[in-house]
Amino acid sequence: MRDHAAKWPVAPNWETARLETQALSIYVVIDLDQQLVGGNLGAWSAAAESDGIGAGAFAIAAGDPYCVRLARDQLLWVGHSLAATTGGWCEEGYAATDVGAGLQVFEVSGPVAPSLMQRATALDLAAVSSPSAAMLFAGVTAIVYRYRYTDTFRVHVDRALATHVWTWFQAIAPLLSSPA
Amino acid sequence: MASVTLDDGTILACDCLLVSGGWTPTIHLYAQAKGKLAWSDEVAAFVPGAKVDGIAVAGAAAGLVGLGQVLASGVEAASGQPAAAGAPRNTGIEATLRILPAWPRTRQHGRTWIDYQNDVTSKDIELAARENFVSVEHLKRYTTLGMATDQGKTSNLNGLALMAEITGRAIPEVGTTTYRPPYVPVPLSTLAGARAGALMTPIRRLPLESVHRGENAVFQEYGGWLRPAYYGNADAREAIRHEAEIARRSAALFDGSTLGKIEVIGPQAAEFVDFIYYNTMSTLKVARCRYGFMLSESGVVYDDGILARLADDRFVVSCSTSHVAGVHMRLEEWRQDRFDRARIQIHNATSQFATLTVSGPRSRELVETLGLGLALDDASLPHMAVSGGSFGNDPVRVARVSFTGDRSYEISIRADRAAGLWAAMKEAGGPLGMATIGLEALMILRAEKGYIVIGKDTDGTTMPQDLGVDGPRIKRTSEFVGRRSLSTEEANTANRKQLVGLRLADGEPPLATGAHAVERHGRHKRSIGFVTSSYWSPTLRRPVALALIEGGSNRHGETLDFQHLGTIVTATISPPCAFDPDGERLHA
Repeated sequence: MRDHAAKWPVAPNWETARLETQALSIYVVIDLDQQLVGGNLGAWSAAAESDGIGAGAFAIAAGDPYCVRLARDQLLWVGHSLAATTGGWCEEGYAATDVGAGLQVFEVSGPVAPSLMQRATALDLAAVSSPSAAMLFAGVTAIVYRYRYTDTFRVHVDRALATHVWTWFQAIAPLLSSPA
Repeated sequence: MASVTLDDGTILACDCLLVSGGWTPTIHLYAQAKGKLAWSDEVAAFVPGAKVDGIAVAGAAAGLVGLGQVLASGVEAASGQPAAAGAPRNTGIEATLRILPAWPRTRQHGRTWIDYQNDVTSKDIELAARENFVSVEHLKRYTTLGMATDQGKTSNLNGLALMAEITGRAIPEVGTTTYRPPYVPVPLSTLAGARAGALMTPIRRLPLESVHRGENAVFQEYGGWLRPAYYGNADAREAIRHEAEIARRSAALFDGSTLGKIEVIGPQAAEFVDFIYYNTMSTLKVARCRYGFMLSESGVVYDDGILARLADDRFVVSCSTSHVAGVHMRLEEWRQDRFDRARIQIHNATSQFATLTVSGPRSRELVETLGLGLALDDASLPHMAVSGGSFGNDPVRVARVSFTGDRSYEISIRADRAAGLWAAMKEAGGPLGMATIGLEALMILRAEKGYIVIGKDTDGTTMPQDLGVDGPRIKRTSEFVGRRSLSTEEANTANRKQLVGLRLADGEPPLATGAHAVERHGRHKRSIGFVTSSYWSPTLRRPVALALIEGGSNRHGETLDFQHLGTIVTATISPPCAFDPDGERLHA
C-alpha cells in the first residue's frame, strides 16, 4: 500500500510560520476567538453591542472585536476575548456557535498584498461591492476582508484546508514583485 | 507527403502543403467592440464598417494593403484628421492587392474541404442548406464550421461564400457569427495558473496529522482527507489485520475527526430534521442519538449517519466524511426554500472539533481513566446517548455510538486542544493492550457487522428498503425528502438490488470487491449484482463480504457464482451481519 504522506507537504508549526518577501508578509493570527452568528442580527448586535453589519468583501474591518458579514442573516464575530458561547438558540432569535478552532486566520500585508488577492480571487478589488466577505480564495471557500489598512488583509479558511492555502501562498509569493 | 497532383495532371514534389483560406483583416477586436462589419469586393473580405466611439482602425486591420494607405490611415486614426502635407508617406512603389475569389462551388466531385480542423466539406454545407440550416448561426452549429481551435480563421469565409451561392444570396447577406475572445488559443496551463501538483486538488488535513506522522502512520486519501490507513512499518496486510484483531480483543483508538458536525439550531429544528431524514427524528429525546438516512429527491440514499439531540431546539448532524460539504449545502438549501429562516440556523462546526474514538470491550475502562467528569455507567450513558464533560479546562462531548459493533465512545474536543487528549488516551490505553487503528482496520470491523459505507455499499439506485430499512416508507405520514419516489413502480419491483452478506467455502480467499454475481442463461451470463466490500476477518478467521444482489433479501441461503477476471467463485448469500448479530457487544 502506497504511503501518501510524502505526496502532500507537511503543515508548518502555525505558531511560528511566517512568509516574508520584500513586499509581502504572511503569518497566522493565533488565539483569535471567532463565533458564527446567525438569525436575528439586530437582536444579536444589541446584546453584543456590535454594529451587526460587518465588513463585506475586501471592506476594511477595524477594532477588537469586529464583525464580518457572511450572508443576509449570518456574520462572523471576531476578537481576542469574546464572551464565551455555549452554542444553541437564544430566545432573542439567533444562534452563536464557537468556530475559533475551526477557522484558521492568515494576515497578509505589504505593497503586493492586493496583487496576491487578485490572484487568489475572481473579484476586482477596486470595483467590488459585495456585502458578503465569503468567497473562493485559491480554490477554496474563505472569508476575506481588509483589516485596519488598505494593504492588510485577513483570510479565514477551514483549518483542514489551511495547509493548502499556505502552500498556495508559498507558490505565489515569489512571483509577485514590488510595485515600481 | 511526397507530392501534389493538380487538376491538369501536373505533379509537384513536396513534403509539406500549406493552404491559404484567403486574406482576411484582423477585425476581431473591432467586432468585439460591437462594430458592424462591411463587405469589401475589392479585397473579397469583411472589413470594419461604421466607426465605433473610442475605436479607430488603421492599416491592414482596416483592409488596407499599400504602405501609403496604411500610413495615411494611421495618421487619421491617431489625430482624427486626414493626413496633411508633411505626414509620413510612402516614397517607393505602392503595394497593391489583387484578389480573384475562387470560392468553393456546389456539386463538386470528391471532397472539397472547407474546415480542415473539423473535417467540414462542401457537401456538409450543401446538406445544411437542404436541411434549411441557412442562418449562419445554424450553419455553424449544424456542421461545426469554424468551431475548431482556429475558430474559423482558415475556413469561415469559404463556408459563408458557399452558403451564399447555394441560397442565392450575397456573402454579406449570409453574415458572420459573433467574434468572441480569445483571439489566439490560450493554453489550459495558463488558465490553471498555480493549480498544479499539490495545489491541483486541495486535500483536507486532520488536526492531529503531525501526531499520526510521528506514530508512523501510513497515509491514504479517503473522501477528500489525508488519513491514516494503518500504523507501523510492518507488512500492510498483517498490520491492518493485527489492528482489527486487537480492536475486538481489547480496545482501539481511532481518529474520527472527519465525521460531520453540522448543527441544526432553532425552534423549527425538530420539524426540519424530520423533513430532511427518512427516519422520524423529532421523537428523539434530548441527549440521545439515532441512526438515519438522508435521501435524494429520487429516493436514493444520499447519506447516512448519526443525529444527536443536544437540546429541544438543537441537533448535530454527524454525516459521513465525504458528504459534509454536500449535506451542509442541502440543509441550507431546504432551510432557505421551505422553512422559516428566522427560526432555523445551520452552522457547520465540523472543523471546530477533533473527534477521537475509542472502541472495544475495554473502551469504558480507558475512558474512565481520563477523568472527563461524566458518569459512564450504562444507565447514565447508554448506547446511542450523548453527554458533556471536560478534559482539563476544555469542554468535551462524549457520544456512545459505534461503527465497529463494539462498545465505543466518540469524544469531541476543540481541534486545537486535541493533541493532549490523544496523548492521554494513548497513555491510558497502553496497559489495556489498546491499538491505534487506521481506516483500513475500521473497514474490516464495520464490514463484519454489515455496517455500510454510502457510495461503496450503495450505488446510484439504492433506496432505503434495499438496505432493509422499510419502516418509515410504510409508516411515516409526514413529508420528507424523497418520499414520493419511494412509491413509484421502480421502487417496488421485486428484483431491486438489495444488500446481502456473502459466505465463502472454507479455505477460500476473500472475493474481489467488484466481482459480479452471474446468472447463466444457456451460453450467456447476466450480472445480477456485485460485491461491494470484501475483507479477511481476523476475528472470524474467514472472509466476510457485502454485496448488492437482485432480490437479495429473499435469497438468503442461495449459492451464486461470482466472476472476476475470468475466474468463477461460488458464495452463499447470508444476512449482512456476520459478527455478533444480536448486538451484545455494544453493551459488553
